[in-house]
Amino acid sequence: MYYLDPSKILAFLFNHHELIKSLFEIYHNGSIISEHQFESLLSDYHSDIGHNLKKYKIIIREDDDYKMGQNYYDFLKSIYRAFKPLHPEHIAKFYSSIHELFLKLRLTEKDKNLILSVIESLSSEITDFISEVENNTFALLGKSQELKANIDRIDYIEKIKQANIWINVYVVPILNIIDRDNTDSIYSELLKISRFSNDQRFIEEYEEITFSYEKLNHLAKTVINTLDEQNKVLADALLPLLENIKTESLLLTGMYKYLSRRDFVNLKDHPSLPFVDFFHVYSNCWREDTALLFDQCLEIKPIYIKDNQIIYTNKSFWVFNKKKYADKLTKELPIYGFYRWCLNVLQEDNPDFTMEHFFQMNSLIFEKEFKVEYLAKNEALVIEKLKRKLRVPVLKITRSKNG
Amino acid sequence: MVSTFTFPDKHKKIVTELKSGKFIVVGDPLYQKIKENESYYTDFFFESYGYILESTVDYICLVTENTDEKLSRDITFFLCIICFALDSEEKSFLNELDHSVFSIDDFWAFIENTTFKEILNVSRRFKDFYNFEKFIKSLVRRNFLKEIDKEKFVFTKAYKKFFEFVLEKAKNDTEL
Repeated sequence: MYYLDPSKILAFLFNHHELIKSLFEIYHNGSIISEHQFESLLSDYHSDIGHNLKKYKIIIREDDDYKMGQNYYDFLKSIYRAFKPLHPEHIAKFYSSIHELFLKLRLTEKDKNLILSVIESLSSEITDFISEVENNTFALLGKSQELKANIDRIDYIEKIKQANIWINVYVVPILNIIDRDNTDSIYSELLKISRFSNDQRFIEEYEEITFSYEKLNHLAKTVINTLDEQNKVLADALLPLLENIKTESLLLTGMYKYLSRRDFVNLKDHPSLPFVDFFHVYSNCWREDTALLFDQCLEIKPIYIKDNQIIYTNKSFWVFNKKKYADKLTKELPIYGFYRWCLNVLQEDNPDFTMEHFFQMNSLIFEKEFKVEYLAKNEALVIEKLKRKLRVPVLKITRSKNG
Repeated sequence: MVSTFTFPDKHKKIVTELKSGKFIVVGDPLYQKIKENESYYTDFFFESYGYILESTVDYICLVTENTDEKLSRDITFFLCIICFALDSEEKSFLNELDHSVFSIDDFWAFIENTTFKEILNVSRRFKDFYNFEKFIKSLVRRNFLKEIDKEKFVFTKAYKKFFEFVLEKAKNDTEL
């Protein structure tokens, strides 16, 4: 194997990032890059590009097709945040590796280099573990959101099945693996590592080892905190989201089946509520109501009321009939001295007239068919019967143009 | 010989409201009263009227098998149409039913735009806005909806009664 200049590899990745991204997407979605796909992508590029892809082991031949080099694939996955949910076994395998390394660390005798080497391996394994957990949670959240939004346009039954898979195959087992209450979980193992390394850093004689134990203790505590956060995300956000998707999809399935029926008119298959009827009991007033009803049906005889008081004649019981007096005034137009005319008419029609009657007559001058002209300032008008002497203006009444 | 009739506090109001088809939801003082005397009211309604007292953590109502009423059918239609409409807008309809405020125009828009057109011909309540408005008001009277402002409504927990029915249908017909 010959030396590959790292700066050239990085420069190649930078200069051809679009091509590499396309290759990555094909490989990420299908786990293989066919020869046809590879040739098709490279058709727009110089032939050296394909040669370099193979030289730098970005693309590796596998039978008739290609795959992406694992290191580059992992690197690009982290850059593009294109993680796929992992099976719980992938995470669970860290338990045995961390457990074995921790056991080795505890059993290692006073061999400085060996202790340092084991601590380094253990730290690396713990770092890889938490990185996988975080990436996995991110991937599960993304997939759940896609399921919620129904990106793939699957029906409700499929949505329920998929939600069940995410819950039972992925989320719940991972929760068990990182469960703090499970004595065989990675969480418990990390607690032991933290306690052990904390104790060891005070009794070690080599400064280098003491420093390594301090770093290991700090790493274990940091990972424990991160696991608490991941647990929270999985249990408090992701699991309820998936359960919600499952419940809603189940409800929508039932609703769809209900609404797809054709015989709703006679359908008895729905929840029944009490029928609200109001006329259960008898009224307490039924006797009076019935009597009233019967009374309305009886033949009504006319009733006459005899009044023993004085009956007024037409002349003494006088009512100002405006139309009558307006017509009379019209016939006798023009009138010079309106108020004298009123007095004469009243004396003729109603000898027992009152001042009130006289003033009622005054309203005739406001009728639109009459034109009123002021002739003289006043004249004296004597009403002997009422013993009154009035000073009234002399008004000429003629027909108005509007009348 | 029947002994003196004793009854819990607010008995008349409880009987009147439940018999009128109202849902008594959690949070209503009557809900607690009924819960405290649940066995009494279970027997009372069954022996007196043949009604079954349905009491859950969310609501209490009366149910009967002996009726030709179609309101509960129409409520189920209404709920299903709303849920499909909200789901098509990529909203969680469970969250929307619990927290959102709807206007009568929102409801009517869901009805008019539903893909289940044949449902609208089954019931006169969905034939036009006038009848639909009366239907909404009957839901308010029954405490299925709560009017929080002029023509603004929220769902009460009573909707869960109809979800139970729908879930039964789903579980009976799916292989889950």
